[in-house]
Amino acid sequence: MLDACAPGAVIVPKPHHNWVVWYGRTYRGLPRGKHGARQNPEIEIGHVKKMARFFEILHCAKTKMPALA
Amino acid sequence: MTRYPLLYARRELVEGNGFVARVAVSGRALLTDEDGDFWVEGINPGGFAANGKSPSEALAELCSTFRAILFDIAADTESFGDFRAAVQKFFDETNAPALREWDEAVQQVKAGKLNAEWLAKRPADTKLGVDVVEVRQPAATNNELGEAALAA
Repeated sequence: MLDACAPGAVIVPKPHHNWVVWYGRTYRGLPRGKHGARQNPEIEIGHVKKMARFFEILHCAKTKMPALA
Repeated sequence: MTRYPLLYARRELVEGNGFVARVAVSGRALLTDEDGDFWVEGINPGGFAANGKSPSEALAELCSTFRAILFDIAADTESFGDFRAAVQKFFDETNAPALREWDEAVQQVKAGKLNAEWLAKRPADTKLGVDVVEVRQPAATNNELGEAALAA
């Protein structure tokens, strides 16, 4: 979804959250998943939706992730 | 969905790499009742959100998330000056979509169409900001409980 809707976005793991950096802005509240430092944790879809809203890419995100609709 | 415009204040003590900092924030957030699932989105500071099964649970989670983000920032910075600048940047990254809805909700509160009995009301134009101070002389008088209010 990020590749399509926020090209160039970078996910930066931090001790407590994953940060998503895009276009000079940072979403700092993406949970790291139930098991902390896994590479592809299952993230509650609501958090992904709030991140997409913050970056103002929600319309695009919904087309890539129907669960966001 | 019902949206509530919130103002909140928090004070946190954070250990960084070679410093201890006190962070006092006067922020704003948007609380949304999504069919019984409550979400709070930070507006200033923005870029984070929390949820819960009740407004108080969601707000408590927001505060916990805010503190954890300060810890992440502290882990990422090598000096107090860097930490203060990074916290200010965090505060300044406004959540624009949530702010638009916050403004609309404030108008509803002012028109008497929206209320939250569990919250006190404070003027929507209450001064916002974040104050980051290096702690050199700890004092009990600096302790302060957080609070949340409905922006009106």
